[in-house]
Amino acid sequence: MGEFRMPSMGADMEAATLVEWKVEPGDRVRHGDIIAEIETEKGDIDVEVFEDGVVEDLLVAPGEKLPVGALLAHIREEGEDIPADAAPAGGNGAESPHADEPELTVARPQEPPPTPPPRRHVRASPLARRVAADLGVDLSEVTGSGPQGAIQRADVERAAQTQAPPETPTPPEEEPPEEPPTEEAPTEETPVEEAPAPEAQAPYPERMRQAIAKAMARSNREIPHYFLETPISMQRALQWLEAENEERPVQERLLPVALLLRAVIRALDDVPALNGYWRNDRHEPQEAIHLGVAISLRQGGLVIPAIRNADQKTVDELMQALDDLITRARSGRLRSSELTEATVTVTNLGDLGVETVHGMIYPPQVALVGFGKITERPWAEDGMLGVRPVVTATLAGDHRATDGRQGAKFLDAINEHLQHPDEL
Amino acid sequence: MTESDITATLKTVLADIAPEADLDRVGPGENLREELELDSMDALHVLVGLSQELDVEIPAKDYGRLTTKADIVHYLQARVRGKQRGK
Repeated sequence: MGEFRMPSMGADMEAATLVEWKVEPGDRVRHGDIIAEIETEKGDIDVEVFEDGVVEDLLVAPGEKLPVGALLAHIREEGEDIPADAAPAGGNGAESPHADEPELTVARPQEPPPTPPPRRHVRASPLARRVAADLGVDLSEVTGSGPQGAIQRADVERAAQTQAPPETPTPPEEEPPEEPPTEEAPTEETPVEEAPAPEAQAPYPERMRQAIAKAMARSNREIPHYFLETPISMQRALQWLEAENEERPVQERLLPVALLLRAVIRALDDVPALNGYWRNDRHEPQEAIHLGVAISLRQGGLVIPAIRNADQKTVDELMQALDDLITRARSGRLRSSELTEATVTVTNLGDLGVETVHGMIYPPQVALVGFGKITERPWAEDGMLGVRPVVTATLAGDHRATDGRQGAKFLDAINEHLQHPDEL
Repeated sequence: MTESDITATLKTVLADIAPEADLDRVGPGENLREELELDSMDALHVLVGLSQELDVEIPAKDYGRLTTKADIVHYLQARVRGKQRGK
């Protein structure tokens, strides 16, 4: 029997709240299927399952906050017998990393509670959730005006003026009649519980701040960073891009960042030691490149989801993947694998106007690549002084895993690849 | 299409991309991207949205002319007019 546990979305995550199950007991699932949605400091995440099988039972109810590693469900493998005693045994054997937290992995009672109030799935932007938490608004009572009825900030603020104050939250007894019907109502088998009262959690930005603080403090404490930087002429790359974009409708145009990402991937091929992890006092270079991209969120904070298998993508595919990732990061629709598997991270602060970024490595990775703003600068080449569009590329490297020589070779490789944009 | 029609379209497009962005707070001569804190991907989405809503082409070579709010509105007005004349 497979155990489905609360996944860790990175070194900075300790717990998350189950928002919704996407499956029911008896459903067949396959590797990569999204089976649950959880709410974390990084927004709402679609959690994937990593085995094939049939959902045996769901052990926790939406609204519960659970630590990383908590048992959430059992997945029966194909062909495996249905156990005579269907009651979940808990499964907290010696192999469980969180066996010392049994009170948080306790199974729900088997009989459904009498007349469970149906907990409607709430579609809301992370910003709306934050504002709701701040204002003490119960999202399940808010009518959304966004796409597909999604709740937006304005809806929450409107509701805040009419809803009860946070000290006396009124649990929703019935669907408000004007609400659109939802297809995702939980079935009778699913034990249902009220979501925790809004004041039970710290405001959203504060929680994200704490998560970032934890990861960055660990990075600063544990990783002996070295920093390198080099200016790179973007003249050829931008000329190529301009010519390419002239031929394309606006929907298919490329941004310079797509070329920068592709150049990073090519350079990691040249210096593979920078792609991977430092774990258990050992350097573990990784073969596949899952390219983490720092994405700032409008409500503050940032997430670093990964473009998975970025080494197999063309410039166009990277552009699409980045676009998709940014859109989903900001609407809170990231997948769990995207937040757990980055092997290296790129941060591109050029959009905010800075020329140079010296970043902190996101543990357990061993490198962080930074790009600043592309600006026109004086540039000497072949004995001539001219003006060129220039970007400063930086590398923060983990000195336990690599040395400055490899780092220098890597930045040089990025430069080299950007001088041949047609070969990227 | 009047200036206020174009501004209304820009508002609609922005509402999808940056719901918090308040176009009314941006003066005509101010840099739209900087004032609304749009990154390059957002800016591209705005162009895609405008091109679709107004059914006009926005060639890449014209990017340099699309900086301030007034630039953008006047440019689009001219594009829409040009398209109508061409019919």
